[in-house]
Amino acid sequence: MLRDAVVVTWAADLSDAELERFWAEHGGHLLRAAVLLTGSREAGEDLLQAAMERVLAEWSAIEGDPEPHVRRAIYRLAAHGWRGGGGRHASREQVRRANGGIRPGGGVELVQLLLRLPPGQRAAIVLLYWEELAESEAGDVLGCSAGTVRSAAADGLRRLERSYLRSSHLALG
Amino acid sequence: MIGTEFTDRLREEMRHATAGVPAPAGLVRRARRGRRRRIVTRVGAACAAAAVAVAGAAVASQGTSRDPGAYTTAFVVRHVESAVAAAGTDEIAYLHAANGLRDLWLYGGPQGQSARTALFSPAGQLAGEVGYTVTTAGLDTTTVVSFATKTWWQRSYQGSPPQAPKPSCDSFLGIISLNSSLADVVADIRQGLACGALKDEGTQYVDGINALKLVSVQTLRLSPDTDAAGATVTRTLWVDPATYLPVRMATTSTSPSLVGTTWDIKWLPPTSANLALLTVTIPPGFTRVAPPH
Repeated sequence: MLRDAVVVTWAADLSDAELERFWAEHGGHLLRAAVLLTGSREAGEDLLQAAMERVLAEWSAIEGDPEPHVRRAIYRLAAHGWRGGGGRHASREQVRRANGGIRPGGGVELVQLLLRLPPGQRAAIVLLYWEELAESEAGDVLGCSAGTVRSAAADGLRRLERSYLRSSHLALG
Repeated sequence: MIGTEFTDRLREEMRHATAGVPAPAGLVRRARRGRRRRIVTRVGAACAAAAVAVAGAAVASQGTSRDPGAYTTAFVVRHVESAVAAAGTDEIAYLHAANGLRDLWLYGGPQGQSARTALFSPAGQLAGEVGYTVTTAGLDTTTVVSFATKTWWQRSYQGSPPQAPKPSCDSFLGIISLNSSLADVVADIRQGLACGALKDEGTQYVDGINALKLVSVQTLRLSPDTDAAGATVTRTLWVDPATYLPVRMATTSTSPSLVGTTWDIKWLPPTSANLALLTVTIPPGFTRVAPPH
């Protein structure tokens, strides 16, 4: 058993080059997803790092492409209210302080209003409308049914639209 | 029903908000370091409570039964291996020979392996320095400074890209030399843990740390025509229970051709200041000479 544990550990080390290659190929896209889910580059990096830490624990046991594992970890952490960044509903003040928000004279950034959604709805919307996955694929990522993804996204879009219309009215009024 | 114009605008804004965001350098390295800290934080707490419950852990040495002491050894060893493997690429190792004759700084970073050795006379005076780097592309550079002759030389050659030492109980990676890299040291530690009969010898204070003491006794399975064939190598590791990294290691052998020593070890983060410790500095006024053949 000890020898097997050592072999597994050594195998993990022998895949360091593979890890670097994976990062070069997928790191940018994964970070962009994390930025959308958290609202800032800094929080996105923290979320991505947290996801990578989880996946690294099982790296050597992963068969095939590790990218889906990392993507699942990112979205599930975000959807379950990961504390490190944007997991909670963003306050109005946070939205205003972020780039964009409600600007005098008009121009409401939908992507900033996204931060005000509950994390599960936010994650569903990013998967369907930015990753452009099918509902069943998004369900696989989040670990829920396609129906749950559909209703989360629909609820989220309704909230977004209401926020957008109110904010536009305020900006114009 | 939400109109397509709204969702199209949302798509466009999301694409615009993330355009050109590159993968941050160093994040994977930070994730590996972060994972190791989280593991050792959890493990440190468990060991402090002295109530380790490891499901499915089997002890592989000497057929010992499943008593709590045996579980603890396997548990500790597994985390030492993990910590040392991670430190092999994430940390700088500073080794101080107990006999006072050598100090080493070793690092296995993204550019390759780097090492600096300071050599001291028995009287404690700096006698020389040796710097050694091998890039991932195989460029091998050695720099030697002699304080006795006030000279220095440097030699580079293009070799093959270096391979990590292959762990095997049929070889001996052991004794730290002037050409040893951090990868070699890590491989030797792991070889001792994997190939020797392990014994937990409790704890002992090392440099203020109540370290866990592990002893591994390995009978070398070398070719019969080698001096050290059949010799026994005893490696003792004193491990910091907070990090599972060795703070001292001692190697002894029954073979006169394998002269071991005792090293005190510190693990340093690869900050700019610490990375500078890996570079040999040529003292002013020293003369450059041709490298020996």
